[in-house]
Amino acid sequence: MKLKNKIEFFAAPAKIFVTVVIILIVVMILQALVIEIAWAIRHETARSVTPAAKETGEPNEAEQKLARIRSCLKDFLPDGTVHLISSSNRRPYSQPNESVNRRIYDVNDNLLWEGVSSSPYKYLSWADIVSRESFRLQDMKWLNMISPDMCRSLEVPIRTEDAVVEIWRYLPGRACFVGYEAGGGRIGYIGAAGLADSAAKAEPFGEFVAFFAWCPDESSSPVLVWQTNRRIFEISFEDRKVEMLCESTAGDIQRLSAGTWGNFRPRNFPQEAKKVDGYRPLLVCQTDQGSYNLILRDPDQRITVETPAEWNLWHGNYCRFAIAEEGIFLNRFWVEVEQMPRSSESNKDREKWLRDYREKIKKQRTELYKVDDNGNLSLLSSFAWTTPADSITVSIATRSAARRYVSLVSPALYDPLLYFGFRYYASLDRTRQDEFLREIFGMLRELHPGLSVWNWVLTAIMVGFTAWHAWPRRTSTARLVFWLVFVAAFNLAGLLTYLALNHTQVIKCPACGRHRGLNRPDCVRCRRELPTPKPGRLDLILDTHIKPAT
Amino acid sequence: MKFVMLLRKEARESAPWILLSVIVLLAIGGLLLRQEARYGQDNWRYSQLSPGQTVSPYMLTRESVLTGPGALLFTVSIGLGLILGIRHFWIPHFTRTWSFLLHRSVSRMSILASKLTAAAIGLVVFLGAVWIALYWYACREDLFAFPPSAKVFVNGWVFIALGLIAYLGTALSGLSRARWYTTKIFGLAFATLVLFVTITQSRVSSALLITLAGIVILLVQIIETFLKRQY
Repeated sequence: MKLKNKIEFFAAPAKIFVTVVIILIVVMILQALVIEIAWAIRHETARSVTPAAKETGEPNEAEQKLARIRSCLKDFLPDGTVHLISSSNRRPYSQPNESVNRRIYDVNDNLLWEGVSSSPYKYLSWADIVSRESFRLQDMKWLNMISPDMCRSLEVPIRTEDAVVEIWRYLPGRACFVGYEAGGGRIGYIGAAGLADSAAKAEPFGEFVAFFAWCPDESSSPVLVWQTNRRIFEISFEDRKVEMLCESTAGDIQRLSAGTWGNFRPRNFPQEAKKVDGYRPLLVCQTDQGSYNLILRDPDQRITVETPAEWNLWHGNYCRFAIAEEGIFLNRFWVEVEQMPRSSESNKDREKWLRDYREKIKKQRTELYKVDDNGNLSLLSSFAWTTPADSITVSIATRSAARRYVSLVSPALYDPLLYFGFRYYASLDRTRQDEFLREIFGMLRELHPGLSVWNWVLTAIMVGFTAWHAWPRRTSTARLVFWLVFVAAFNLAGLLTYLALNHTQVIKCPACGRHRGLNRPDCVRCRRELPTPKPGRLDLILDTHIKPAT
Repeated sequence: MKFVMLLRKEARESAPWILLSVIVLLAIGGLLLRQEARYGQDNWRYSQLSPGQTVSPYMLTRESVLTGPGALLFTVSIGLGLILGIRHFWIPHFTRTWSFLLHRSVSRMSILASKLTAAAIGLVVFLGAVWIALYWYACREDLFAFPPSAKVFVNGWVFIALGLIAYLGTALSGLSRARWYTTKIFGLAFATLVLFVTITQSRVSSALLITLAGIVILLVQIIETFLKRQY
């Protein structure tokens, strides 16, 4: 078999693949544009007719009180007393400790204190999530991208007063650090077990999740708290020491919070908290099974808190911890509404939930628990308030309506791909979840037809058109069936691909008078070949027509 | 023998562009490295670390000394791929000289192979040699306090492979007989897609796999189109 014939077996599928991928991307972009434009137009129209734009008068006293309760910060004293803190002239993005005019109310709306300076009350200082101040998995992936600005690397310097004398560079492939001295020479490798001579001997830290850093009091060389899926380490490169702070045996570590740790302090953690009596450095590791591992220092202590499984059934369930002289406290927020459907379930369920959530009055709660040394919880106090229904629901309906229409031209393949593919993707360890695939699944969730009957009807029309177009041009039954199935699977993108690769000329067959293509030598209807030209006068410069002798 | 002659002819026609790319990369890349060696900013960058403070983790991320030359390599490689693709496959179409080349006593495959080989040598051998030289320079302990990572070196080769992708995409678009408003430009569009997908990868193995798949997909289409097209 000639190379030309052999290569056609690979070239034809490659051509179809390239064409359908590009057309699919173009169709997806157009669909997304239509949804966003429709939403933007309707959203602007809806904004001008919401109840907020049609206020007829000032709210009454009861409404003002409810509004104030909703907007106030709810904070606890160590004895369980709840105070409502209102900041009247707070600007957006102002610092937590910035001076603002504060008013403090009790739960019966009695004003207890008002002023600009620090209040006389010592509230519990809650450990805050460190994600805002930490370097996360997403940042590490961006750092390692094969991009034109070349991969940056994560390097921890060891400094003297004048210069950098060592650097420790993170090796993502080996999940450990390699050290170099300034001016040459490799120092060694730092892994989970500490310093090692070679990469093979260095124990990997594990799949990276996040880290945060600070400089100790007497050094300008950073110390890191390094979080992996199941373990948390503290790494001091200057001392070449690695300490494992926590290892989770039940589930991955989902979230890390800190009061202060070393000289690290989350942005929202108040400065004065460290000076409070009984304050201790605190790290909180929340696992995906709903348990919390508390790591304390001065003295060292480990406490595991298991929250009731029922807590996770409620929307907005969030727990945070605080340390005081009186002990360890847990604060829980939640809304008396069932949890939102998971992202892997259909758009319709989630949109219905969102619509219902916004349209009804909801009760929110904040509760304070005391935590003993064995991790047991005892409820100290609770406070609830109501949140009214939202006024703008038009935007959700517009978006879902636009999505319903544009998804009519989406391939039916999107549904099984989303159902099986996304489930597999979601089951992967988060460190192995590819960002590109995540974006693709996000697009599929927006644009999948969702077993719509009208999508099938449109697909059938396109398949019918393809059959009508392909019939006179067919070269074999197998190819015809392939293209019909292809168009059925890919809908509009399939039809455009078929037309791009198969729209060839047709002529009328001289024998039967019906349309036929030119990709095969014989007519598909009557099986007659194209007639050969009749021999006659040769149209050359010389006239070769033999004249009869006279 | 005929293939070697054709290869020499293609190399002669491509030489000015390859030479220009090599000179640009070597001169500007070398200059950037020299500047980095003289005025390295490690001490300045880390001077902002002081005892007793929280460290912004982004202060611990550091560009390689080869960042500038690497970005230049990316641009030069793709540019050279585009130019060679136009030179080999678009210009014969515009000047209507395909028939003169094809109707000789030499197989079509030899003609195509000579073009592809000339482009591969220009990209892989010449640009690759310059990249090796720049990396060797960046590893000199007497000039730079700390060596660059090996991943940077591998990234450079991925960029050279992307130059090859650009060349093959241009070639396929040039050979396509479709109308420009239909699928003629799809070769270049696919090459662009492969490029974007590759540079968003954080693992080198994924990037190389995607690039290799792109090369194979484009190459088989180029061979099939060239062998069966009527000129």
